[in-house]
Amino acid sequence: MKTDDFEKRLQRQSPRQIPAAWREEILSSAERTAASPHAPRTTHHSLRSLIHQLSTLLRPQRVAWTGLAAAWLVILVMNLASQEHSTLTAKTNSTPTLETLQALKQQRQLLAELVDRPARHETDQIKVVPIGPRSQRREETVTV
Amino acid sequence: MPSTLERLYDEHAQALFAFLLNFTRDENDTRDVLQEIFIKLARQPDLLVTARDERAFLLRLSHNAAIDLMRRRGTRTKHHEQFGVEHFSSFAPSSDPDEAAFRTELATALGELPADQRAVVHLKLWAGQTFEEIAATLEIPLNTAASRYRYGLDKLRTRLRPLYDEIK
Repeated sequence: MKTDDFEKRLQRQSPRQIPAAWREEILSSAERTAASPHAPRTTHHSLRSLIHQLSTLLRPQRVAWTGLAAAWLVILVMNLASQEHSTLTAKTNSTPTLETLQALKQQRQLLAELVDRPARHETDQIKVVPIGPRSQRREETVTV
Repeated sequence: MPSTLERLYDEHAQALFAFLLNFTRDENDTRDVLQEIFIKLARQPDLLVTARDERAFLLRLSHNAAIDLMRRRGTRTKHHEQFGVEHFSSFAPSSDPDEAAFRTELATALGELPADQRAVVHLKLWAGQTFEEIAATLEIPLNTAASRYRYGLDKLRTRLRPLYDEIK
């Protein structure tokens, strides 16, 4: 059996005819619905044309566009997440804690001992800067 | 002078009916979709202004509307696919007994195809569309359209071979 013959044979089979009564029913129903006040207004021609052109442009590469959009979304989320993280880190590191200062003091003492210099003189220079107004800090320095 | 809607009906309704009947395998669904399409056309008279090919555009609208309808009526469609295939024909009755038997077998074989293959086979054989047009109508790649047609036709050939050889 040749494919062409078979296809031609299939093509010769005529489909069923649409019932004649449907014409009147469908058309009158459509016109009635269109004339009803609830029918939506027609879209402006230029807008429709633009939508049509855009859909013609985008539709064939739907998967590609979706993939690209997903990639951008991932990049955006990662970017936002890293920004939040860096802000948090910066906030955390902006003021030295007492433990840090203490550790630094100890390191300096150790260094001073190693180089055989009086440690007290150096360590006295390290001051714990209290949080507060600058004028108040000056007073405290004078007092010390 | 007929209105635009009447002209569209007279020029395209038969083709849309044949496609929808073959695709949905249900006359009521076919009627519902056809009505939906013409209501849409009546509400939006400029819908076809930008269409290059009215027939292809309407077939695409019909296909999309039929898919929506079949999704809404999923259970019913499965029921049709399982039990309604044997008694359904989308072809005109024939006075020739051989031809009538072939049409009955063909209708049954078409019902056994997956809906997406059936749509491609119909558009190629009975709507006279090229693979490019079919791809645009069904919004699928060209190669997919061609392979669906090949698979569908192979199944039909296998299924109808004994009868075809007998009545040839």
